[in-house]
Amino acid sequence: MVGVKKKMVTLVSSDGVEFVVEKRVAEQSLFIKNALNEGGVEEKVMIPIPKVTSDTLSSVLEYCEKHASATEFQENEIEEWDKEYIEKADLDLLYYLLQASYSMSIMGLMELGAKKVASLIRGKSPQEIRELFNIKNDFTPEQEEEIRREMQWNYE
Amino acid sequence: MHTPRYASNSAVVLPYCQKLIEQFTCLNYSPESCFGLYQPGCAVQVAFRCLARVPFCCHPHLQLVCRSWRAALRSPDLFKARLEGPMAIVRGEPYVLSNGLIMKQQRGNLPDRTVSSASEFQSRIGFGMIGLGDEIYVIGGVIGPGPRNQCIKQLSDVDVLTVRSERPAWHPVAPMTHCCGSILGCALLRI
Repeated sequence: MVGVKKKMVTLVSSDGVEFVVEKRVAEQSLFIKNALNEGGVEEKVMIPIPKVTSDTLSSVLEYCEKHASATEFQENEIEEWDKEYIEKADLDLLYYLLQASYSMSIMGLMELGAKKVASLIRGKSPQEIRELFNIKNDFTPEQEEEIRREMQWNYE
Repeated sequence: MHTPRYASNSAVVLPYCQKLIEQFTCLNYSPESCFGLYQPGCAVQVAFRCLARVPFCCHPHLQLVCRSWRAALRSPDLFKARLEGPMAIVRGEPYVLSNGLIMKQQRGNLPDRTVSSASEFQSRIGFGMIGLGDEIYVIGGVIGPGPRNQCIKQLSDVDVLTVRSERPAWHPVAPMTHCCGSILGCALLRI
């Protein structure tokens, strides 16, 4: 091997798949960073990531890898990359990415996902939102009318 | 539909996060085994963060979606999630500290641009932030009391971020000599 030996950590997803990544990549997650600091750096570090499946984790790590070497890229380049990355995530993956970024404390990813969800909600009618997220309308027509009236009052 | 065990208030659980909550409640893992990863109400937090990113003007009609959305939109927790940190003006452009990131707010409908990470300030409260020249100064504040109720540490540190440079980076400068702790406000004086 050429050059300095890179410090590696092993992350284990909830379904038991092991991911060996560079320490600097894993440390994009504040949760892992803290865990490594607290536990002292051992030769072979295994970190279980419960609740995060291997599919989600591999996508999360793709993000971490890009952002760990963010300094090598132009500012716009990383922004473009982020946009593309979150664009290609479907709604299911988006749920899991948000959950994973929250529990693993990856603020950048969380922000990215939250903005994406917000952009999906924005400009849609209540009915469109219900269809998108598979939500049942649990208001009676009378209640709906009352809220509409309330809204009118707000605007006056 | 079962009531999610970990949600702080089941009335505000948003349906589109139901999936997450189900995953939560199905899993029986011990909190100790995963470095305290377990956080109550995680899914609700996530949902609030998403809703908080929707412009305020859309909120009234989002209340019509369903009961739990209405409850969420009227809950004070949403305003907590919206709450942004301090703001500073550098060369006429506003920068805010929110969620451990320094963001530059752009005009019109453009999304905020991330300038730099500020995660080291997440545990700090009551500090002052001011724009000076091409830089943002983060001054003083306190650390604590934290989840374990440690004693409050008063700081006299001053950290500077060169926001207008190609690669914005934080660096500490000389600390305050007389003051420390909470800063109620900062102003640039010309004498």
